[in-house]
Amino acid sequence: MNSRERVLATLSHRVPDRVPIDFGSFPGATSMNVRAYQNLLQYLGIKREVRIGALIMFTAEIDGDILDRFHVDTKTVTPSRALSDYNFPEEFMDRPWSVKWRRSTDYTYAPVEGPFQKIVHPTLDDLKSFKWPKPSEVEDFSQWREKGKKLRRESDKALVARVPPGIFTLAQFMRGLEGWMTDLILNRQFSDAFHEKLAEIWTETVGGVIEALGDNVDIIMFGDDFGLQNQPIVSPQMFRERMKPLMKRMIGKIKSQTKAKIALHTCGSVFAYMDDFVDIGIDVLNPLQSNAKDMEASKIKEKAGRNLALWGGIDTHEVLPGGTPNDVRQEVKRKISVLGKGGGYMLSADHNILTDVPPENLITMFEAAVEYGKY
Amino acid sequence: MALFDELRASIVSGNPEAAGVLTRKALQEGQKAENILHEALIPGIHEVGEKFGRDEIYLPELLVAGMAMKEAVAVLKPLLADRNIKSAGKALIATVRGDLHDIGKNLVGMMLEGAGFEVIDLGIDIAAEKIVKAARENKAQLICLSSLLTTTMPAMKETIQEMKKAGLRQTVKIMVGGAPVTQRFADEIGADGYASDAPSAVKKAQEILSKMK
Repeated sequence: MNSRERVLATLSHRVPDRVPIDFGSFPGATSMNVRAYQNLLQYLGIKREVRIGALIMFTAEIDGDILDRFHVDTKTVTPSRALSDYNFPEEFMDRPWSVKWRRSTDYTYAPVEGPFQKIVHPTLDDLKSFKWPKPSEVEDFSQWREKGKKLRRESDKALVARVPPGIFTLAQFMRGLEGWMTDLILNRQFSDAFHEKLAEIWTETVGGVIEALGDNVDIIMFGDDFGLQNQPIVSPQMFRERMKPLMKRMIGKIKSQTKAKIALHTCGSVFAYMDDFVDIGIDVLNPLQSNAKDMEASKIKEKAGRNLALWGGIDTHEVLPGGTPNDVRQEVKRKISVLGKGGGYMLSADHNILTDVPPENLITMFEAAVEYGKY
Repeated sequence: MALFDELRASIVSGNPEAAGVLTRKALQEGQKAENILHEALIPGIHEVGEKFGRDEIYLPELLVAGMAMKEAVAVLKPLLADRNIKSAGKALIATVRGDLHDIGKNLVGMMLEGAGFEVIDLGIDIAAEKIVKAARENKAQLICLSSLLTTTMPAMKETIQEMKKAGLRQTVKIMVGGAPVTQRFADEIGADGYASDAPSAVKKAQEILSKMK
């Protein structure tokens, strides 16, 4: 069984030869902070230029030799950028959406100002006067096309496309999280029209990516955060009334254009939405933050059943940064025994690896995954 | 007290405009500011906190309820200050050095204000020395520190150590919160309290300060 077959088997709820391993194929949230990756390379005695996998998250594109070394079964087909073009700027502008990001002391970035953030009561006119990007300004489709062809030719790994963030996360970046939440209740007309507009651009852009990749993609993945640590960000009722119908339309459209699996990354406590994700057409859920409320591994495995494949699971809050290598082994063993039962599980850290994770712990995670992952 | 019921409902349902209008109306009808605060607004925000704890409302509803509370309290503030009504306590809030996330901190600030605390918001990415200086200058009784990243959690410990060095640790209580923060972490770094969300942060703050008095 090669890597691609292993991944596709498990995501289709068949039992593969071992639990597949991901590292960085969704550079938005299963990769490694650029500075942390530089530290890892140094630890391994490797000197080379790092490429940026996801600009806003400032994560690395994990190189092919590192993926092979750790028995990783996935590879991102998303175009990357040279670090030398950016070089840890204090701030940068995420062009298509006009969102300003600022660097923290740990070399991660946070969105600090979006184009609608300072408007007290935004209106439909504000939406009209914004210069919305064309899909070709959001993504460079020729780069996707080339990378897809090249990787499919050279690699037997499952190819993962990280498409633009989901519309609710984008709306949060552009309006600020507080403004976005306030609008949901106090400025519903704007809120709904804003989401509609983003859905239109998102669907067209993802359609462009699908067209460029053709069969050279196995998983299409986007991040749209619906969970806080202790509860979903909005009530299940609001989610079902305001968000689900839009998502169903968007995912329905892209599923009519590709055979690839559709994966959703959403942090935090989202147990309450799991059935809705299935209705929407999501095939795979990431990252399974087991320390968030209602997200215990056994509980989500039972709920997911054969309807939703699971991806992620290894704790980045405490175990990877603060645990010993033995703690990491136990965490991997435990998660595989619960989540891996009967297939339907791909292992990765439950978020990007930051500078506080010792390289030994990361390496242990991969070694333990191979050791305990055999079916 | 139909008007107080209406006012309380405007907080619970998160209607900032109505909260402002009804507060002014209550004053015009001759109600005392402190009665409006204690009999309508605080019970309202208390109910909001309870509902949030029971997952009956979520963050957007909590946020607009906090906005409604803020609107009403803004109307009363000059009157309460005139009569020298004591605040529930003076709290400094900040997101620690290196961390740029502010939603959790803002919510805690809003809920504390709603519960009658005087809140000084230092902002995001705030160095330990700056927090110590502000605590001294403002004679704060409570400091609430926020962090969303595992990599910035050590800055909480650093802040507590700086407070000790400055000789302020005995007189100022310190609470910590944020997604990766746990009670265990709070105990390890010697914080006085931890809360997992904004309404419980208010409860914790009241509990800690009542022990001081």
